[in-house]
Formats: sequence, structure tokens, C-alpha cells
Amino acid sequence: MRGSSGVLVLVYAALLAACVPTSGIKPVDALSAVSAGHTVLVGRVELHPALKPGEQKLGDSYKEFADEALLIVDEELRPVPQFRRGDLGERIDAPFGRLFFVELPAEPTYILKGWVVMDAQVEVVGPNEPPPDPAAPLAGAFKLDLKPGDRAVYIGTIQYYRDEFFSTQKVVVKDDYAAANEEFQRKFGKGVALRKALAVPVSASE
Amino acid sequence: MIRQARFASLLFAGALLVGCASDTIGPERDLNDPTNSLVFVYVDMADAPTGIDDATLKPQGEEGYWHLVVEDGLMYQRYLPNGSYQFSRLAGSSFLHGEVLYDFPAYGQNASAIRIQKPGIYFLGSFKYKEVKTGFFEQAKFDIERVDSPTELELLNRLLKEDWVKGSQWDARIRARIAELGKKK
Repeated sequence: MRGSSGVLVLVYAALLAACVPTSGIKPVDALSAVSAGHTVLVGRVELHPALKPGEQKLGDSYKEFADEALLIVDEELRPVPQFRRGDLGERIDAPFGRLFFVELPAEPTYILKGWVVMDAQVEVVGPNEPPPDPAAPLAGAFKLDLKPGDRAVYIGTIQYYRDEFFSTQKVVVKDDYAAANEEFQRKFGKGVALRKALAVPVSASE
Repeated sequence: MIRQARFASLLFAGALLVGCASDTIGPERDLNDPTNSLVFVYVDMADAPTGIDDATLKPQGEEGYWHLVVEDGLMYQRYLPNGSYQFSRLAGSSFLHGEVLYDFPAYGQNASAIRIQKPGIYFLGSFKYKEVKTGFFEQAKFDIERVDSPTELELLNRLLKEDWVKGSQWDARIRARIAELGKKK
């Protein structure tokens, strides 16, 4: 019996690792590192009410997903019905309540959906028991008005309001430009202007 | 308001585990505890691979599950404290398909969601199982669609005939609800 449990542990660990690949969208630490034709996208995500301590069940290997949203990005608007590896390759890792600075091609694009990793840990599950749902959805798609020539674009604070079932009840895009620009200038200097182009909610069928 | 898709995964399993789940909540409460709520629901599984032998409600923000009593499509739980609940899983078996688990997504509301803020009798609705088409290599999916029949009144009359109702607080409470529904007709 001990042998078969071990196999199950390995299978589940491998499954989770496969679920969340490294994102092709990287954080920016210096403007000089941004490729030609790309821009720095600046924004913030909030979850209301915030996650409670212990609400996310993350094993040691998955702590990087604590208190953050994974925002799925694509140049085409399309539904994202499930938490799938294929969608996660192009995502913004957005820590709740803090500005993110990531590099994207300077062309119109979409945030298709968000996810919060809720259950990612190595544990023994029964041979016929499906693994728990790994992530909770943050519903709502947004158009990002990025243009060729943009060096840095601010898209606002995206506030997701959830109920006790973790259904998204409301999404608000708040303009916190002044504070964001201050932090942008502190981080990158005053040489590049941060253009404001708030994320625009659009409908995408689930 | 943005609502989530109600699709859920359907898993053909080799053994039924839900019946012996160790994280089952209740019934540790007294049947006549006035803070109990009676929650009931009907699911027509005529188009499903199996009937239902077991069903669980997930209390939101709490560990564990509440199992429902299942009787020919009618499912109920008579010990529920206040809270928010929704279907977590249905389970059944058939000779052809073996044991089958019908899992609902853990996050986001499904059609059975209910918020109980004061003790009472709550009808989650009547539903019909509906298969959702998927690709050949994709996991099977299903949905539950709200239907008009059987009605709350019909199901309450079924519940009233249950042995556990007689002599309990539920006898008067179910009769009161039936009278209330009668006045609305």
C-alpha cells in the first residue's frame, strides 16, 4: 500500500507543476531592458473581500501564487472557460494591492480572465478521487488600448468584488494614476511618460 | 452581475468514495433544533448515465460537506445551520457505467446556490440533468437546467409522508409551508 500511495503523490505533484507554466510576460526592472516595439504595462489588481489567511492552500512549491491574480492575456478576445495550461503561458502575475510593471508588445490586447490559485499542494488523493479545483476564476474581460510607440501605459486598478461562493459580483476599474505615476517615476525615473489608458471592460462569453 | 458557467466535470470512477468521506459534517444536531433549516431539491437524471445515490452540499467558508438524503430524485438535508451552500457533488452507479461522480466547480456559484440567513424551509428548485457536448479527448461535462416540475408543493407533500417527519418539529413546519403555498395559488 505504501508503494501505491507514493505513486499517487508523484502523479499529483507532476499534475500541478504542469498546470502553471512560466509566463511569457515578464516583469520589468529597467526601461533599458524593454525590447523595441514593446511597452511597460502598469496596473494594479484588488480583490474584495481580500483572501483570508489560510484560504489559499499552497504547498511550499507553490508559494509564489500566494495573494496574487493570474491575468490571462491574448491579442484576440475569446472565452477562457477553464484553468488550462495553454492559457497560462501568456499571463500577468499581479500581486493583490501592489502595482505590477510588465512588458507587452505595444499593440491592442486583452485581459481575458483572471485566476487565483487556491489549492496547489502535494497530497495523497484516492485512486478514483479527482484532484481539487486548483483555481478560482475572476470573471471579466478588458481591452487594453496599447499603441505602437507607447513606452509605458497605465491601465488602472482593477477591483474584483466576490461573494462567498467566489463568484465575481462586480468589477470596477479605478483611476489611481497619480499614485501609480509617482511610483513609476521612483522606479524608472522621469525620462519616460506614463500614458493613461484605463482598461475597458468588454464582454466575452464564458 | 457576472455569473459563472455552470459546467462541471463528470468523472467515471472505479469506486464510489463519497459514501465514506471522512469530512462529512453532521448530523450532530438534534432533529428538533429550532435553528435547523430543511433544504430540498429535485434532480431528474433520466438523461444521465446513472441515477443518484449520494449528493453533497458544500458550506462556503467551512471545511467539510453535508450529505443529503436521496430518494428517487428528491434530495434533502434537515439539520442545516445558517450559512451559504451549493451542490458539490452528485454520485451514482449503473451496470453499464459503473460508479460515476458528477462534480461541480469548487469556486463560483452554481444553479443550486443558497444563502440561509434564518432557519426555515428552502427549496433549491427542480433540475434536469443535461449533457454538454465536448471534444473526443475532453473530459465529459454536464449542466443542470431548472425545470418547472415537480413543484415545491408536490415535493413537500412527499416529504410529509416521511417517517422522520412524524412527531418532529418538521411536521408542523412543513404543513405551515404547504398552507402558505396554498394561499399563493
